[in-house]
Amino acid sequence: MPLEDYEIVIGLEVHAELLTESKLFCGCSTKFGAEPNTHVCPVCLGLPGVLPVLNEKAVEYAVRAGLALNCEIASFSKFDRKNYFYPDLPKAYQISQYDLPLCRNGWVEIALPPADENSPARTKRIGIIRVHLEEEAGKSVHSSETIVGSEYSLEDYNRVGIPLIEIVSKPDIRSPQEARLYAESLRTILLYAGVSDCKMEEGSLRVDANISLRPRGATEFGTRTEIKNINSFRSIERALAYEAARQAQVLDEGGQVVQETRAWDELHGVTVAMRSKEEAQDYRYFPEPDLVPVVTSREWVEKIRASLPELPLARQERFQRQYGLPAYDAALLTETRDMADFFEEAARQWHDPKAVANWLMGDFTRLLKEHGLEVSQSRLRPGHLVGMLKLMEKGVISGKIAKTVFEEMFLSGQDAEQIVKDKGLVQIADTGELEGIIQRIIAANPQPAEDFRKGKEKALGFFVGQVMRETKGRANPALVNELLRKLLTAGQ
Amino acid sequence: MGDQERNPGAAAAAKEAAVPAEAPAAASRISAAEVEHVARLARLELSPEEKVRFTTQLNAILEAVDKLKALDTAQVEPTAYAVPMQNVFRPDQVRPSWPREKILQNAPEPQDGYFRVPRIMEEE
Ligand SMILES: [Zn+2]
Repeated sequence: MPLEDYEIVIGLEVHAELLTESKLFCGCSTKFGAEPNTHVCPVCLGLPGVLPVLNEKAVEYAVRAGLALNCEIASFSKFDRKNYFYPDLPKAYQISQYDLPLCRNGWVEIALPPADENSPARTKRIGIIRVHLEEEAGKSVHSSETIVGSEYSLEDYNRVGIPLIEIVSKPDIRSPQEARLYAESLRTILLYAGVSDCKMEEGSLRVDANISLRPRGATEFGTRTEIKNINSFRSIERALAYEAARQAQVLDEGGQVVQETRAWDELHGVTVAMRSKEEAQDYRYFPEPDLVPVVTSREWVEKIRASLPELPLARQERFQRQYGLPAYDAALLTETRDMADFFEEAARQWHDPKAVANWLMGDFTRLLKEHGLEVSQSRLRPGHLVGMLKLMEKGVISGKIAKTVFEEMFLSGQDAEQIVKDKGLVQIADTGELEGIIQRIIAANPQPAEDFRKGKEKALGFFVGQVMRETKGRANPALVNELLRKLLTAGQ
Repeated sequence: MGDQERNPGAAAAAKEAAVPAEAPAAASRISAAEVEHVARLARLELSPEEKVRFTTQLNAILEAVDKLKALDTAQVEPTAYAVPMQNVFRPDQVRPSWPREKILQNAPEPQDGYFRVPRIMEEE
């Protein structure tokens, strides 16, 4: 049967590195990009006789993340050893949390795209089973392109012991698109909460997905596969769409889905089996004897809750209410806290919030991307934008010139007035000066002038273009139109 | 992997342990196959004699543990820790790591500042 007749059931496991300065159980630095094995100590390696000591900030960040994800915070929590052999794990066990995680029973609300332009935005709640704290593994560099083809591998243990949270969702997700939206929402929330930088390309945010199919209306889950190696938000959707189609085909051919871990191959756009079921992991968890339990007090948790900023979805709704922005604009502007703050600071000083939003979503976003900058690194600040909008309103500069001024402000950090003065960008609103220019252009283009007189309105556009080119965009467009009509028909 | 399915071994072990205490003492609580499985997980290679010996020894240990079931623990809180301590933290401060030469000192095959390890996955 076609894929539409199956219900897709997805649950995500998201790992996010926390923004502490030092590792979870030792004082080694967590800084990214150091020379291999230079942020390593005996605790990282699990050499005999060492003892881990828990980083308090990591616990605070994990609780902060849990609260931002609407979780209950455990008053009593402990650590466990998860035992397995892999070269990126020098101790041969990972310190994690098994039966008593720090946070449980949360949820995230995702905004689904409206069915069409006129329908209201829809939201859906995705449940979160747990958020727990654990340590990161190392990084393997393989001697050839694939791990299977590699004669040997090189291990860098700098990343070992960096604090991670693992966020396990309920199987509430019903499409590859919802999975991407959920992961993007998580990222935005964690960024707002200030607990992780969530860079998928640097591996500080990783997404694994469980997916199964069942005939629509069925209540039992089908056999699931786990998809790993997803390396971008776009790949979440692609990998899951591929895997859903693959499972549907297996079922349609009368086969059975094998419960297994599969890796997403970005290059070929397929998932491939990694380990089969008989190799299923048996981690033999037991309580970590070198650490004592964590007991959180109500006061401490409430103090952390009080320090959380307004979260993305709430802010998005407020932007629509308070500034009258469309849902699309509000969603885009609240994607990062810095951009949302930038917008609010400018909108507070300007009577037309939609104009502010347009500049930020258009030219500002484009320039940031072109120069590889974050909002916080921009020399252009909200005051610059407001200054420029004032000049536009007064008619000192046209919308076209404003684009030049905006880019100049972005590059130099100078204010609009200074740039307009220095570059002579003041709009030509002097009728006499413009008339001279227009007469010259009409004289040089008798054919289009004739066309216009014969009623071909399009020819006017040609003349507007010529005038703008001649004046380098500094002519007031309304005035140009008015003068062109007057002078083109004057000879008749 | 979902949390529930994460630890099938533990679930199996729990079932095993739930065998009532009245069960005949001679019945093996752990089979030779399970000993082999655990040995494989721990990357231990056991000789046939060792398998027999460890199966017997592990069964003796499990029987000894079973004796504890005779105690009434209804009023006792489950405990994972022997010392009554909690919340031992360190502040989030970076301290110097070790020099790389020392870190790699015991590595059998250091290469370019890395630990070199043999083939991870066999070709199918
Ligand atoms: Zn260390």
